[in-house]
Amino acid sequence: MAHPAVPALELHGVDMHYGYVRALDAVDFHVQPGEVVALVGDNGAGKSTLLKIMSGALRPTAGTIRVHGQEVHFHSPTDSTRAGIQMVYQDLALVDAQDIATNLAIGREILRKGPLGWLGFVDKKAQRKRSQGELDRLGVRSPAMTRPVEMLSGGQRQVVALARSASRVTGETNGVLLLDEPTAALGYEQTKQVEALIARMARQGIASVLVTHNLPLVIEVASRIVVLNRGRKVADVATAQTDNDQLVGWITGARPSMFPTSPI
Amino acid sequence: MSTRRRRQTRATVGIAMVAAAGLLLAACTTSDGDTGGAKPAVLPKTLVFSPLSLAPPALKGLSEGVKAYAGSKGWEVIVQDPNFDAAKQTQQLNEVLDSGRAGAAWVIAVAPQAMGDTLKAAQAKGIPILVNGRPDEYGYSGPQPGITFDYIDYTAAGTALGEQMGKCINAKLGGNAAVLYGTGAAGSAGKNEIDAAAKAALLKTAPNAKIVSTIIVTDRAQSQTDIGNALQGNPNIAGVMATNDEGTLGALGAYDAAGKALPCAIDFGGNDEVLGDVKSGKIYASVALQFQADMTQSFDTLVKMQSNPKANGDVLVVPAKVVTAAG
Amino acid sequence: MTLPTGTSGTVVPSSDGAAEPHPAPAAHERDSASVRWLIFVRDRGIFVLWILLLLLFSVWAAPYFAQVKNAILIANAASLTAIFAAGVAVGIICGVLDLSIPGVAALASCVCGLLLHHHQPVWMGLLLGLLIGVVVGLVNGLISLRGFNPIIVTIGTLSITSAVAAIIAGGYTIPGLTQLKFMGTRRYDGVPAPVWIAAALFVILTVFLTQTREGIRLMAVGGNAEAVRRSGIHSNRYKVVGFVISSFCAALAGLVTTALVTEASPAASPGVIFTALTAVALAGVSLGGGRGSLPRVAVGALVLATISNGLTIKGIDPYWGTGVTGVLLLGSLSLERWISMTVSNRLIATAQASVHTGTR
Repeated sequence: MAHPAVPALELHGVDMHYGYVRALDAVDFHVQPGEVVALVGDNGAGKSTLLKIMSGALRPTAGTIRVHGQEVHFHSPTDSTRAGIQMVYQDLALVDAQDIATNLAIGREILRKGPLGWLGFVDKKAQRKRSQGELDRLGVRSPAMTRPVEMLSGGQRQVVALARSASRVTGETNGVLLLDEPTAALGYEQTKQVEALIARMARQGIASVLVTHNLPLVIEVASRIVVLNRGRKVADVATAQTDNDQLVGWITGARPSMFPTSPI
Repeated sequence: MSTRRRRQTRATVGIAMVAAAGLLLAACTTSDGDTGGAKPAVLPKTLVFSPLSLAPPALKGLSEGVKAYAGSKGWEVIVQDPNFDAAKQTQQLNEVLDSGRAGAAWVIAVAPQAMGDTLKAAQAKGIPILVNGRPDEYGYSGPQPGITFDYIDYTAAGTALGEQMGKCINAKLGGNAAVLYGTGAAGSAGKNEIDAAAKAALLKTAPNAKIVSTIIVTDRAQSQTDIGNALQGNPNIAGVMATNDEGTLGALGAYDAAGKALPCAIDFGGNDEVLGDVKSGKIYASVALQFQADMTQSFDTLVKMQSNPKANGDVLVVPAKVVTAAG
Repeated sequence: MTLPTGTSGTVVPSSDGAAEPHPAPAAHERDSASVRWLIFVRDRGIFVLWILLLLLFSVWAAPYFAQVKNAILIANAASLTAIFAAGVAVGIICGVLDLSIPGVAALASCVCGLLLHHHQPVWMGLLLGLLIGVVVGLVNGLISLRGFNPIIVTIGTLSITSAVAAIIAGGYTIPGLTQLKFMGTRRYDGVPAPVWIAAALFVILTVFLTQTREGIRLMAVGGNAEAVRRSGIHSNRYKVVGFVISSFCAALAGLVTTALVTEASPAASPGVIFTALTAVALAGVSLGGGRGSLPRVAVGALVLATISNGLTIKGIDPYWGTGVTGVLLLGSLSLERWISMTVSNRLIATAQASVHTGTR
């Protein structure tokens, strides 16, 4: 698949200082539409910080962020959502008591036509149809739209949470999905299901940034891997051109950085 | 820096000394009106009134009435609010008795058995005190110096209640009727006396009348519901006697809602709404406690006692009057 | 029946990898019949309980129990509890426990009573009484949002409203409010006014919570406020709405009580919280928030009224009713637990095979 030249999301020269601590040091990052880029590194390497900057929860001390070529400044997660970036949190943020259709529809409910709609009546049938359609497009086979989310297995819930973010991300210009440890609490079978979903979303043109410790997942699903070590980018390499040993080397620091150290 | 410090220290010490001197002065000049054993100083015309709590509307109303009446006699009234807390009540009373502010005290005790020390303290200071209840509730067998007891004669009230019920049944229902008895919650004051007396009096006055249902009445809305249910189970109940206004008024409401007439409603209590209903004939009779008269008799007794604190106090009864449509 | 296999079940990989069209999933799955039945019992169990009680009392307290007149008595008694319970339930669903309801009820009725006593029109008295409910709810909500513990806040409001009610009533009650009889003891088509009022309230609130966007969001906020916030919605606003509805119901209940007894009393009886909470608990509304059905709450109130009515007709002290209710409550909790576990067990078997993603 040919990728268009303009990255969906691009960070350039991002620094994040907390007093004397450098959480991030001159990090460049980009992800093309339809690409899945994995962001790996040991604890404290700065992956979560970088992800938070992308989602607007943190403001970088220095550096620029561009979404589809446009420079943006995020003051809060709401800004990033408006720019087309959706973050899927580790706790999933699902409303247990409600069913799948309602969870997928929160914040963008479909109102009925006519006077009932003015009163705020919701068109549940249309919502169910829409959610079913969204899940179908993602190739997800889920239980009935009317099944309460609390009655789903862990993997199914993850799928619903991903599908919710994916639906919100797909607009006129395909957006960016930020995934924070999406398979941390899942078993083998369920991880496989999530992998398949991420791949499918990529095929639809969504750009994904995947933060994880799970190297097999990375190798399976990501087209490119970025390794951080102590706040610095030490590797940015296509998955096909590297292997587990190299990745572990970069993560632990045993392997030297791909990039020469830039003078301060 | 050090000069400033020294100046600050000096100022602090100075203030402390003035404060200490002031406290000493205050302590020495405070008199509690009792210079140990000799004839006590003149008691102020200040009444301290301590009811159970100011929350119940009736007691709030009573405190207003006391203030007005005492005020009209040139007295000042301090109203305390122990909020159903016995320890708080005794503590508040002891404070005001010790300070000498009070010239007389009127107490509706939260827990009569806890009042022992306070009563003795008042006696020692020669401050007349009036308490609600019978002497035996406070651990005494009869009249006491400096203490007046004022109680509701529940036995007499119960007898009047039962008698009026019987009278009504004889007059309107041919002497034979099913009766509903509305009693107080377990532990309420005088419950056993009034229940026993009412039932005995009814039996005596209208031997063929029968109490077929007993309902605990405390809250008007709840009484209305409960009596309505009882009526459903006993459709021929023609007489209701209740030991409080809420029960009687609730009964009227229940019958009204059921679309039935209640020929014989007898009440114990006698608030304004009940008295109005007696006048209009909805209630046959009310054994009405004359709180206004009781208040004046209580106050007047306290004034009298103040002039002769060593004499035995009275044992008063809250007047109760049977009020019927006739008057 | 439980484990779907074959065409309607397990993962079916499609033949080639890249460049396939959207795979058409096989027929969309519906929950198995036994799961649906168990969910039905969990949700409607309280109706079954009530019907059993009705049958029991019809036999035991014959002939007075099973009469239309008595049904009306029960409905009437239940209405008052139901209106309070509706407010409590909406509050709990929204994640809020509002303890100020007795005070709000007392204050609303005293305000209305005072106005009527001064010969103001009835509609003004009622309107202002209800407005008190809304205002107190707003106060509760806005203060709680500043980070204070909502339970403490509502206890504070309880004290304040009770005090103001006592001041307004001047230390007494306000009797003689016969102008309110139209919504008290009067009957329309044989049904007393409070029953109509409670029924209307429940219909409106149920429709609101289940069919309207704001109501659904309200329930979602109660379930997981953070999740709703991440969807771009201001969760805090909905919590305030929860408080407002709770206080509004309390004010309405206060006004209806006043209409029934034609007397406004400032004595806030905390007992109403207990009965309301019992009805709500019987109805299985989770104290954790986010779920609950108002019709079940109405039946909860009916169950309480039925027990009290039946026992009184039989001449048994209604205090026994409280004991019976307690036993029922524990029983219904156990039943609920058993059903949940059974449903989970049934579902675990189906869950593995249900999510089917396309090819890799």
